[in-house]
Amino acid sequence: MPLNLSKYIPILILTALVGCKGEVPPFDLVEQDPKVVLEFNVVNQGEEIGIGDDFVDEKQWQLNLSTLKMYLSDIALIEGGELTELADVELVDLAGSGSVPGFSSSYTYIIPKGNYDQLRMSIGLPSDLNSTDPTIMPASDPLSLQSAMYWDWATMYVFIMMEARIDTNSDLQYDDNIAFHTGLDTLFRPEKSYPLTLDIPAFAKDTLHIDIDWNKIYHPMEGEIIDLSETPFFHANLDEEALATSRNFTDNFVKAISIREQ
Amino acid sequence: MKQLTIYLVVVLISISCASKPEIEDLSKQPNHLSIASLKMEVPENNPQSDAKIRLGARLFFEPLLSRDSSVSCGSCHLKQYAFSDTIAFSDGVGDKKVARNSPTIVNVGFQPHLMAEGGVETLELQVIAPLENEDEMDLEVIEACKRLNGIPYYQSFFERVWSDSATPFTLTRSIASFERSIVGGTSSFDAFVAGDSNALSDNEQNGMNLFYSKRLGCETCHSGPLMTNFKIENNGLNEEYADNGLFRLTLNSEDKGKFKVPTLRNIDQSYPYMHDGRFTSLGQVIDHYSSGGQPHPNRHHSITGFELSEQEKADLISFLQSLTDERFQ
Repeated sequence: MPLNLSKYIPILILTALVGCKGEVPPFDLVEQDPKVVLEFNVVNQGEEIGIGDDFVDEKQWQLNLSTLKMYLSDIALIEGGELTELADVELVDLAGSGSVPGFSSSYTYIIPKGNYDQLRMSIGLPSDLNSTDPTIMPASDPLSLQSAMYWDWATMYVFIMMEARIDTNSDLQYDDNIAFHTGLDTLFRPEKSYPLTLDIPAFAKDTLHIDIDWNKIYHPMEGEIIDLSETPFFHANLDEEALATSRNFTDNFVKAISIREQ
Repeated sequence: MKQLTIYLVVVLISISCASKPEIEDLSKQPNHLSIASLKMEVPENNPQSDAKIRLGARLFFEPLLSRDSSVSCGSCHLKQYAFSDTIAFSDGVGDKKVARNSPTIVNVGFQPHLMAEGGVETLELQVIAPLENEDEMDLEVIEACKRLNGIPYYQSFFERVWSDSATPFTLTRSIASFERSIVGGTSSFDAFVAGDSNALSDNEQNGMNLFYSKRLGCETCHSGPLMTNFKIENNGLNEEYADNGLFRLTLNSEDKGKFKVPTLRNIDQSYPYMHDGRFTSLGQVIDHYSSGGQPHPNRHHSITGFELSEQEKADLISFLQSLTDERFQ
């Protein structure tokens, strides 16, 4: 009676797989890998400020935050010098999906378990991304026109858009606006590293709060102070004075970022 | 080839009979000055088609593309004025005024960069600028597309041309295609360049000779078929600039007060002049260059002033008027 090998093929394959145990991928890579959430906040004297919130800053300015949007690029976690890349580019919008669908104040990433010691990110966009044609990007892409961050006259993007209403004469009425829109390749701040201690095991989910301290942007202990009484309204790069303010704002902004772990 | 030979013969005769020795390099003028010699760069993802140009034309004159549906691209770029406007600052939405004088867009498809500081490299991207500018049409492109997609006429038009709806991609490409179709080359000067020696009057020819003379040096910047070298220069309008032009892009103080050298094609129709429309007549423009302009560290080295008789000035203006395309007046 001839031997019918075909009915043994599944058994042979299974045997081969078991025999190559070391090369078989983990049963469920996605499930067991931990997740990290980057959640962005503006803080004033330790308190989180949301869009539309009234607050009084360290210099006693009465304010109401109306917008914070910013581009981050080359976002990565670092463990002993080894990089785990999280995203090429994200648009952080403190107003979350209510402002621009698809863009958020928090982003979740699946990462390998590990003991991470730094978060690295660039503030703004590198020149190759800054010259993207937004009309060819899908609407959900952070570089699409949906972002409302495109400087059409210069074909580049606003890196940081921070706006607030301000009471300039202490009559409890908001009578002016502060609007910082910074962009241009020269205001790109690459590969800024922020220390952290993130020991994240398999199956875990951890949140990193990326705090942006209002007072460190405008009234820093180190760096150039931005006098809100003399800069009630500002739009980037119209003249040298505005450019200098824009540089100060950007540099202060980078230093105003810190990481708080939950 | 035969036509080219005729051009050269005409030019050689002109040179041999020239009573204006100050013309330095007329031998290269025919091809050098013919719009037909120019090759328009068309993006691979936006080839020209008749249907797309028609859609683009419809959109160009569509006021729905402004926030309050009051203005269109065509409101500031009037066909009868070579697709420019007759006032210094055109009306935008509401009671707003645009920040700069509206330039002619005839032959705009040949330009290597757009906007007064040259910061935009393609017509497709340039379309976004006036649409979203809060002083101009003040409507986000995303919202503009939503509006168009709510209108059956545009639904079917876009579907027919693009097999797609109105999107930032299809909207910008359609308008850009229309703009590329706006090409001149029908002026008296073009006929002269093409070999019709009677196309320009004696006064116009005298003006032409002055224009191309070293004495005036107009060709230093206003060269080639479109009479611009497309560079971004400071022409000595101010000692201090409210609008710093190229500096906005580069943040380099050496770029303060620099604006793109405009085409002189259809210049008689595209008044007023300069980025802020300060001069209402060609005579005022000539007076500016004749005076040498205002002292500014960035002022172009060639702007040093010159003297002209009244007749010479009139002839120069006549020549500039001969650059008007019949179809855009």
